[in-house]
Amino acid sequence: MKQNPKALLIDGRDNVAVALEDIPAGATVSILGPEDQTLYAGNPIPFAHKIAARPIARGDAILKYGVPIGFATAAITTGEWVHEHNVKSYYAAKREGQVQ
Amino acid sequence: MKTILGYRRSAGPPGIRNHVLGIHTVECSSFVSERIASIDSRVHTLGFPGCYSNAYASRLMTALATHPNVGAVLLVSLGCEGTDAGEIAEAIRKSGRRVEVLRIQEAGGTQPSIQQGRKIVASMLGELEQTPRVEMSASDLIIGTECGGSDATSGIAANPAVGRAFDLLVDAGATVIIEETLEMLGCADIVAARGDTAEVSRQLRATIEKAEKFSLQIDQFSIAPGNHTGGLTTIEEKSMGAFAKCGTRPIRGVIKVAQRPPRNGLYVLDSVPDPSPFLFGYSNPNDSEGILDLISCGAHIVVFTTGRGSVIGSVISPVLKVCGNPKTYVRMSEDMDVNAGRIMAGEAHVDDMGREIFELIQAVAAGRQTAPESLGHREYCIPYKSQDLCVHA
Repeated sequence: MKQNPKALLIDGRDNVAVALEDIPAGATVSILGPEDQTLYAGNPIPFAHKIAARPIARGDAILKYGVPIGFATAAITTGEWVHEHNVKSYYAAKREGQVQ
Repeated sequence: MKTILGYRRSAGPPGIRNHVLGIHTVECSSFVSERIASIDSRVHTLGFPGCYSNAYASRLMTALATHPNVGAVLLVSLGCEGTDAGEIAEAIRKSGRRVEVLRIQEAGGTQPSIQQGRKIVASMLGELEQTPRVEMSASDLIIGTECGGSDATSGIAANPAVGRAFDLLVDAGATVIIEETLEMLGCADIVAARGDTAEVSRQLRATIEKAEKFSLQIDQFSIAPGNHTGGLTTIEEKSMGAFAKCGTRPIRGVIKVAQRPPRNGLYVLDSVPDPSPFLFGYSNPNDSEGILDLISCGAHIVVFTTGRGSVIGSVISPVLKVCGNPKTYVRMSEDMDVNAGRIMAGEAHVDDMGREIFELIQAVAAGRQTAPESLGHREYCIPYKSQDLCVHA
């Protein structure tokens, strides 16, 4: 039997995991991290791209390496592809005067 | 920690290697210096090519000559260059090391200089065999980290694994250094929040701001359009992928090139040129410069992460290679020490790899050769640069 495609939760605090291979939409994904978890990929997730490991509300921080690397510009459901279409850089937003 | 038998120095921390260092103080004397060194593999050589002296380069060479892994030094000068070999020799002598200056114009040219130099180096090697050994503890060790030839696997596998190893080192009492402040752009808030004190946080912000200004000035940034296709969404994410190498412990301070960390724990090395009317080229001409900067701060070993592959080593201190890409590891395994690509294959977790790297660092400190070391790699790079020892606000 073929193994589930895998994604890696780099830090236990993260809400996104990184695809260790190309993941097709609808696949059952094994999330490797402090606790074993499986979820369904809502979209195709290319290799090295991010998949939501938890629901993320609009405006909430995207956590990778245990730190905020940007914020959600739309509500993100578990298993969804997380990239430029639904994430904004805090740094870029600050420079553009969108926050603070 | 395992027992590590180091080489005792009359001043400063013990070394894990016991080299003679040949230094050419201008490109004109490099050939003679390298020919002198060719008699024995324990003789390493480096030098500054410029004829006009540069305070930064002289300070860097002095720091390298008094590195714990160096036991004796031969300065090879042409005789008329701007860099003052006598002044550098005086600073080295104060560290208790044997140092000699060979001036080619006085010695009578190529062959007499090589003959004379080889005699000096042979007697230095004989003396170094008597260097007393001393048991080293974790608190005597300084470990640096650098990355190069990166790809998507660097931020996923190799860098986080080295970060775990660095946490273990800090917890054991060691000193660790991360360079690459240019890779911290967009992360000033995150990095500054890691400062041990409000003053360190202020220094970190000032250092990252300086790197940002420098990037704007020379129009070079570390994020490329290809990064987005590769799955990186924001500059914070790209920067954190590189920053992950240093682990998660508090940052004790910012140091400049050729400056030793004042105590144990995690330090950030600022190698970016200071604001100056003279803008000498690039901040990071190549990976070897970053490695040498870490060594100038006393790094006994530099842990180097790669994905696409890199073959470099260094003079003075062993470079330990961690490869995050499993395909690269297979293709270039002779050049690699650690296969962090096992994380990519789902065969090992970041914590396991971190532990393996931590163990290997100790083995290398105890004498085991790294891949670049056993292949004989001796790269270095000393450019002209404007930098002093102050943190510029």
